[in-house]
Amino acid sequence: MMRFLRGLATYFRNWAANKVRVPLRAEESVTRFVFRTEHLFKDGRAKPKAFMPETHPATGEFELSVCRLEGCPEQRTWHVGKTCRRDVALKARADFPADVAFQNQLHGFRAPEPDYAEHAILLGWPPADGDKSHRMSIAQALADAARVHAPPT
Amino acid sequence: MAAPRHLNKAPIREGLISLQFEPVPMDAVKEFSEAIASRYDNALDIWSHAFELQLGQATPTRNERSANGRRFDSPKEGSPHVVLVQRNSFIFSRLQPYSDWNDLRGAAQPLWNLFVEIAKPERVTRVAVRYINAMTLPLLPGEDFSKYLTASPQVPPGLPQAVSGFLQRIMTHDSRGNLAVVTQAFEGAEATGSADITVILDIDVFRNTQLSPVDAQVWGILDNLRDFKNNIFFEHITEATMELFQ
Amino acid sequence: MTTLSAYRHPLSERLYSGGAGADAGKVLKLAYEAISNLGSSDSYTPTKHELFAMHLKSLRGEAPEPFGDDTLLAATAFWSVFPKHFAVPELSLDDDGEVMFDWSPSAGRMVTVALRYDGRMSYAARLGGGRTRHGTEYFNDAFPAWLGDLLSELGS
Repeated sequence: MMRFLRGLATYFRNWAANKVRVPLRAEESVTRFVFRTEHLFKDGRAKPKAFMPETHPATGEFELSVCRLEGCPEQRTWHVGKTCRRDVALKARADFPADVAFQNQLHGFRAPEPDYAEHAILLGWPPADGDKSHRMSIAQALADAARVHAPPT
Repeated sequence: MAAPRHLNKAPIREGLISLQFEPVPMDAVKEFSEAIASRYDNALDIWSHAFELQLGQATPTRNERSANGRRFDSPKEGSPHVVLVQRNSFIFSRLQPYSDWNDLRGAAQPLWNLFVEIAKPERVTRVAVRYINAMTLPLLPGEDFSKYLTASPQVPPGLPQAVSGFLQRIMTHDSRGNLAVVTQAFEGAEATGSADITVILDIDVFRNTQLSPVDAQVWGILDNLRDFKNNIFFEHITEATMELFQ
Repeated sequence: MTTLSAYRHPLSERLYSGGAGADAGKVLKLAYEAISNLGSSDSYTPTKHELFAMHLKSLRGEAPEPFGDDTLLAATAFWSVFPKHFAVPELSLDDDGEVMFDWSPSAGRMVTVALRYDGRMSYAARLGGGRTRHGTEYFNDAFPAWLGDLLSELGS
């Protein structure tokens, strides 16, 4: 009996850790919030740096945080951009089709957070011990597809 | 051009072999340095410098430096030479008195082999031979440089022909993929009372490669570069120049 | 007869193969001063200042990314041999402390190079017409010919 209960507890722990991930759809658009002016070209387009992934502190996996735009009114999108990070001011947002990520062998999943239900992540980047140039190439593809918008005044 | 021949008083101030490779850890450079330190009377760190200039200020506000190599000279035995080793380069250099190519090559190779054994560079990316000649020429004011040089800078015929200094640097290549940077420099007659002038003819020949450090081709290419260098040298001087160095 | 070569080798590519004697130092100084004064260099000084400014910002903790001394040395060494006939890149710093150089004359065409402290260069390029390139090379004090080819194709 005790062994059964221990197994059940392990199962639910693993389920919670791996949470059922809802994939993004190819038809939907997402946006990347830009907080540094040096992540934009002088002509206002997004640089690839704005789309370079970060390392997840727990898993060590590369991921890129984005905000889903589907069903998200403009006002709400800007509010999320301005409040999701308290330490820096929002400079712009760069919208792009999720399909561009999929064409570059990335996978997108919803990853809602408290007060930020629209949060999503793009996974499947070449690993840290792999080829950085490949990550840069993917970031360039996303930057190239992105349309940049300045925050409303 | 002058017919190639051995010169008893060749105007060579420095002849060197330079090998560049993918960077090795600084610890490997230090280990090699420790292995050969006892063979030399002098050893110095090679420093990299970074200066910071604040906009609007003329003087550096911050000076950072870190050792990224070692220089050895005054060997206790053998012919005089200098070894410069850094994380991505190995240079073996003969200053005056220069002997000959076989002496330079023969002294450099064992040291390179030792460096490869210790530091284990992965790939040699550039191979070079450089010879700096300082030619003392008995040229009098009003005399044509072409008496001694076949490719000195030309002043258009309609302008005053007197030249008090020049610096000419050309980049060229041969059909085998060897590149050359040839510099001729004349900084003006020295105020020593001597009628002679000094013209520097600096010949730097190199080839980019992707070779294993132990590949014999590395030394084959060096021999090849030396031949190219010789060709360039003799093509730049006249028979009158040759007679000065016989 | 002096003719134009079909190969592209910038005048500032790897000034010389090193040297130990006083004459080597003299020639280097002459060549460096001559080349660094070529053409209009006004647009190149701000980039060097920008590198130092980024470094200082990192040291003061005003930027989250690390920008080490070795990286600054590598970046300024690269900039010192950068041919002046190419467009000036825009700079940024990656999370891993590598300096990123970006060129993008128009949408759909860009070259990005990330330079690490030891000279490793990771690069990616979008050259239009669906053509992309990416790879890893090393900077060895000489302006890389492959980068010259990419920038020429980019029209920078």
